[in-house]
Amino acid sequence: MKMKPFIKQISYWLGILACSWTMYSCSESFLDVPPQNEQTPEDKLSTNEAAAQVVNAIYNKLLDWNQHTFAWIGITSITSDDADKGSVPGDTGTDKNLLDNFTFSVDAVSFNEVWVANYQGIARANQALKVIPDFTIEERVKNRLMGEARFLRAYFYFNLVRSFGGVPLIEKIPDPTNTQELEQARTRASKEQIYQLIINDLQFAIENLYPKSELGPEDVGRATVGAAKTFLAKVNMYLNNWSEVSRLTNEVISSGEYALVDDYATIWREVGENSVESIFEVQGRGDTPNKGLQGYTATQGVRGQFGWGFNTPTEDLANTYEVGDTRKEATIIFPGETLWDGVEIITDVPNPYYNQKAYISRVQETFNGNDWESNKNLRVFRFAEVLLMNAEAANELGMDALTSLNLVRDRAKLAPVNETDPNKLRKIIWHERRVELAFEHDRFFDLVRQGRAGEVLRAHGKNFVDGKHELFPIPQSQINLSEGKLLQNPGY
Amino acid sequence: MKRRIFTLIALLWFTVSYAQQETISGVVKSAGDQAPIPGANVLVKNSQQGTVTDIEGKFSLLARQGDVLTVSFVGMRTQEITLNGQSSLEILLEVDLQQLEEVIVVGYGTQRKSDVTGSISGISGTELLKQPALTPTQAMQGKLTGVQIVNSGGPGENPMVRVRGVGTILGGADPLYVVDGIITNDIRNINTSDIVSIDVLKDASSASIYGVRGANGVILITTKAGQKGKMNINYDGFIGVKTIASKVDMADSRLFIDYANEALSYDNQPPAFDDADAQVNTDWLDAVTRTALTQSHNLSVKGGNDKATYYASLGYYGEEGILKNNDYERINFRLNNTFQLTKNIKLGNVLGLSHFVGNNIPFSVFTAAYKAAPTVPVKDAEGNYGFTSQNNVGNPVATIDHTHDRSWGDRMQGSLFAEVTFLKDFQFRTSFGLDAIRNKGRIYVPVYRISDTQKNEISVLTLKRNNYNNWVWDNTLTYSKNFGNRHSLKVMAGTTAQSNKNDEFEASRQNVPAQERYWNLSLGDEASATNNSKTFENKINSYIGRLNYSFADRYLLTVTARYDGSSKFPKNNRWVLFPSVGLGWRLSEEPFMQDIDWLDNLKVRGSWGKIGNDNIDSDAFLLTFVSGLDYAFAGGSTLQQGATIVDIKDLNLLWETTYETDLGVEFSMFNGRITGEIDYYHKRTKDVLMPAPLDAIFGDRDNSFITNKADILNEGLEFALNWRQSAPSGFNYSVGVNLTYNKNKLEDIKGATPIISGSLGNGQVTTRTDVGQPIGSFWLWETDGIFQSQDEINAYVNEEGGLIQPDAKPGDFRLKDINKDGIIDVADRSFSGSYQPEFYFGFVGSISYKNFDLSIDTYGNLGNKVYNGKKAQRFGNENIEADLAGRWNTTTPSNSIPRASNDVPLATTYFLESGDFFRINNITLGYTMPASLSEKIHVGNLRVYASAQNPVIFKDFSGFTPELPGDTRNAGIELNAYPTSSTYLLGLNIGF
Repeated sequence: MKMKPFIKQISYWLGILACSWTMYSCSESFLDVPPQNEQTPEDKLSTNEAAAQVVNAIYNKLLDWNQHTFAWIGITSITSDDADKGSVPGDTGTDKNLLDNFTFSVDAVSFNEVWVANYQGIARANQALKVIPDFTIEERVKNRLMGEARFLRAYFYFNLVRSFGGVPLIEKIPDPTNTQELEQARTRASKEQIYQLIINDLQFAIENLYPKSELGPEDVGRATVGAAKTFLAKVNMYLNNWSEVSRLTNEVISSGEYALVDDYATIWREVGENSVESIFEVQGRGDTPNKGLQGYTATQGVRGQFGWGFNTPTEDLANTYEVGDTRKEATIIFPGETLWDGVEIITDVPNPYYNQKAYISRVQETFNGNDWESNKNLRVFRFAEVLLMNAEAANELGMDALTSLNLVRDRAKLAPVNETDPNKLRKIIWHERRVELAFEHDRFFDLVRQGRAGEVLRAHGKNFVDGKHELFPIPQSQINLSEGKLLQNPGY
Repeated sequence: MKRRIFTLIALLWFTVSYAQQETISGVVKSAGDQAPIPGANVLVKNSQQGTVTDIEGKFSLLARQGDVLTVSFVGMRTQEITLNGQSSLEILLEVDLQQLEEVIVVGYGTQRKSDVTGSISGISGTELLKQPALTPTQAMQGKLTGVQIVNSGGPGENPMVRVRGVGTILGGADPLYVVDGIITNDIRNINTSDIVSIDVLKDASSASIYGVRGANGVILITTKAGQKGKMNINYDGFIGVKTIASKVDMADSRLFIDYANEALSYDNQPPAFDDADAQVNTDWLDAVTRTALTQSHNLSVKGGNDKATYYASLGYYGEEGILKNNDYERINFRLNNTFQLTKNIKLGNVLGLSHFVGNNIPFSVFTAAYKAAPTVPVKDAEGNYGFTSQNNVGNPVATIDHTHDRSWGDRMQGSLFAEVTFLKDFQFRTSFGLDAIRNKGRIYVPVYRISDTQKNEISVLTLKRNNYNNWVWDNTLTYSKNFGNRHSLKVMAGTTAQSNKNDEFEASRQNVPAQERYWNLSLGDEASATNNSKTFENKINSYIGRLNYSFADRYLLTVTARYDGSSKFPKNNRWVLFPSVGLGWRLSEEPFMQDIDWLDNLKVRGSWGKIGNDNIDSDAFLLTFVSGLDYAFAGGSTLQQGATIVDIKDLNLLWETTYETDLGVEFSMFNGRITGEIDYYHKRTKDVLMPAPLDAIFGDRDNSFITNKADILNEGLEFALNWRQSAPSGFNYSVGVNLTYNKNKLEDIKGATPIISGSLGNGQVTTRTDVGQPIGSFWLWETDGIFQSQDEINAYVNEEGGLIQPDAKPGDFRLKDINKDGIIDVADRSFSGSYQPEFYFGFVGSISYKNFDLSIDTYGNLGNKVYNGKKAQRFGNENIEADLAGRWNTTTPSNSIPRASNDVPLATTYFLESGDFFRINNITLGYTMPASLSEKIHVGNLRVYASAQNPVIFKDFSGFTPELPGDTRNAGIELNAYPTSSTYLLGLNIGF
């Protein structure tokens, strides 16, 4: 019986008829058209599924073009001695040529992109942290979700603090109409305050996240206690808290959850996704509907064959590998070579090398024709770095560094190092980091951390100015928007 | 079977022509001076039989006793004479302000033009038919003051229409269309042949009856109705060919190779092309364009009696684009009826059905054809598509061949109405209108590989369905009364409610077979399926009222108000009143003016009113969770939903409000020979939506939120003058000119972010919408000659002695350091003009002599700029225009054309050109068969004509077309623009 809807229709029309001639009291309901394509906060938050969704939305931010792609590649990699701008001279990638040779100004768009992206991520994390406590779900899951939000918030702040130093500290979404709140939100916190927030967030994450082995198969890729410990170790490394680095890396190593994979080259392939070596990866989906790192493989693909050809390995990097280091072939695409999947790289290309870690196979990996959002995962933390941090901390603390270091070298088919002089060993570990982690968005920040960015980069022909270029400029547009509350970094 | 049809037709003929006809002759004179009137029309009413008086004012024609003869002449009152035994007549025509008795549609009613106190421009259906086009708006170009039409050349494309300037930035700037009372924003379903008239409500006093939707002007379209009398069958149609109107002279292979290699040499790159490449010399524009066919056929029948009238029509419109594989076809059906049920009750309907099919090709093909290297063959000797890896331009012919993008649509638009008259002076009218649109789209991207960059590896089929359902219900009560013989009062009050619903559905799959007959999703790869749907809904409820009062036909008052409630705004903020008032004074009716014989009419009028624009997204003021922020865990295999709040919104968003003052003069002289109208308007729009910037710390998705910030002023003058004359020799002519001046200025943005737009897609932007400038002004670096040598570069220094352009090479532009800070940066960009013309104008003229008629329509605009975007959008090694042979190099210096270069060119004034143009829109030569002849073949009237559309254009711009529609911030940029075409056609008009 379709009687009810029919009666409903009739009364609706009668209602309108009545409304037409009486004044607007009842036309109010006629005019209430609720949103239909996006849910109101009340409706959305009334279901418990939303708790996971607000956190998933933070992960989703990791895929955005402005988060990990062109601008991030520019400021973390093209700035370094590992990578050239690539592509052809006329194609500047807006400002990538300026990043390459340190001639950028406060207006360079890449800085603004990175600034904007990470604050967008922070806002999503803060949004999640605001609403999750009100859900009635299992306490352990709720705390895990809170832990994930704080882990990710720490990640966004870590990107900011390494790039810009102290930045505005936003722990909840500011109210633009509250002038006091707004003014405070526009003022830079100190670098120490930001690091403290990161440490607090990660401490919370360590206490509340699940170990990798306890995540269900559908949740692989969520932040884990191992990821939080690795991240916190890395943060402490930037603060030279070597004993913390050592403690945390030892905990990760002894957790038994992680190990090195045998073949270094497989790490960046589909078969290497979320492997035993993986600690935290941004997950890309190359199946319909695609949810991949936007443009990550396309911008770095072999120009003329797969992509734009930006962020290409330097001659210096190619020459820095020891003879027999299997990581060289795994990291660099050479024109004319035949890759592991049988694809032959064309020779008529404008650049001598390309980044193999950003390569996806169209023939042997998941690929549905969409090279903008591909299957490629971004490896953020992996076990090899834990070992290298462990080695570096041990060296600084006068403990055994060689065991961890040589595990990494052994996997790369290199002979063990026997060096015991801490100063020489430090250089060896730094070099090992360079070749192990090339094109993993680490090199520039690592050089700054090591206090030798100027020395190395100037030797590489870049116009690096000490005391200035260790930090990037606060984007001028953001300074303008803050009505001068944001103060610029020294030298700019 | 055939024979039976033939018999039937013969019978029909017989019926039509069966009646005792006799020759009626007579003379037409002017009642005043008894002078004969040559060129007067004498028609047998409802038959289309008729003739024209000769030099002595005499006529003769065949008619039956009892027929009504209609005798008309410009400037005279039309007379009807019923044949009552006479065979010879003397007809005296009285001088009349026939022009002024014209009744126009004003929205929820009609009004005598003489009583109107606002500014309304009108055009008749006959006039529209002269310029065959998809939409009647295209044919309005150059005919009306205050209404700017910018045509896109593509088949099936909507023209851009701006009434009295651009009054919004982010909101919709298109006028409101009202078709027989049904409010819509797309009139591509209307067959021009079905239109009686179009009236454009331009000022606030006339548009305020449409309240919150009236600020962009209102275009009222009235379709034909039947009329009492015999059945009348009419056919009109044309067929014609179209070609590209103006081409751009491109470099040949030799010049291209020289240029490209020279550009590479500046970057220390080896030559990319050698002499062997010069063996091919492709004209890519020729390769992608064609001589296209366009045609239209319309058949209509109308008639009626005292109880009912009918008008029915069937129409076909088919237009091929000059771009290959690009076309549009439409079929129309219309049925308009009225039924007089009782003396006091009248019912009626209008109903329009339409169906279209369009084959779409991306307009970027034109840009690709412009940029493609002439050294590349369309296809090589083996039949493979040519390509070069030296630039990123895909083979445009291959793009056309691999595009399968088709759209279809069905639309039903109509209304039922009832009119009840009671208590003598009251009329109640209720009208319920429906507009239902069912559109479909289908895109199939096949697998192909032209080159490493122009390819598609996996086929995808995408299907789209869009449904629009719109109803509007108007109820009005009108009271009209004359008190004494000097006071005339008309009061209208009413309600109206409208609902718009729209839902969109889209789905796709990969690996659907390549043959068109298999383009169904079920044949695709299930794992690749995507689908999406959305619904949109908005409603309006309003109360309307209008009072017209006139005293002695001399003093006129109009008061209008609309109280609008719109679902698009927050609950506490959604009702608003839009009032207006208009005053008129017909000086010519004053006793003291009665002695001035030559003055037929003189009216001054003034009006003020408030109107709104609610053309924004429905949820613009609501905080919502955005879905689709999904993330695929486990390496992409488990997709989990994500949603959060990513936008900061203005929770108190308002409509945009326009306050407009209009002052006008209308006049008519010498028995209507000279008529004219002059208007001044001042139109200030407040609370205009603009994005207000947000610091990144808020984490907003686009770092801004939309709020009511800006004030816009449009100020202008409109001037129209017409002259028409009938000479004794049977030689009639008329000339007219209309001119509009408009000044657009963004007056205040109150801290909002100036909008930078006009992106060329290569990192260069070209426009900025900022205080003190017209909306969407070009914002460029200014060139100041060319550096002839390194010495000149070295000499261009700032106060500290530093080079102002350290990276320049000889042959590059010297850029002006506008802010004198010693460096060239974004602060040196300056405003360089706007796409909005200061003046637009039309001259129209027509001559008829006996059975021949000739008319000419022209259109032009002055004072605007256009940006040569296709030329500026370089990445490297694209083709160049032939005049770049004169570029700078060390041997042949130039101070205007820079050196060969593969750098992305900066957005400089080099690419900015004058947008001034003047075009003959239409020349038509027609021949009407004399009645004596047409009667012999049993035809009421028969006219054949030949037309040339856009045959001649005078323009400064070097590109394909100076008509470059776009949104408010992005118009006037020639990038992926459809070139203007010239059309030559033959038409036939035949009535029975």
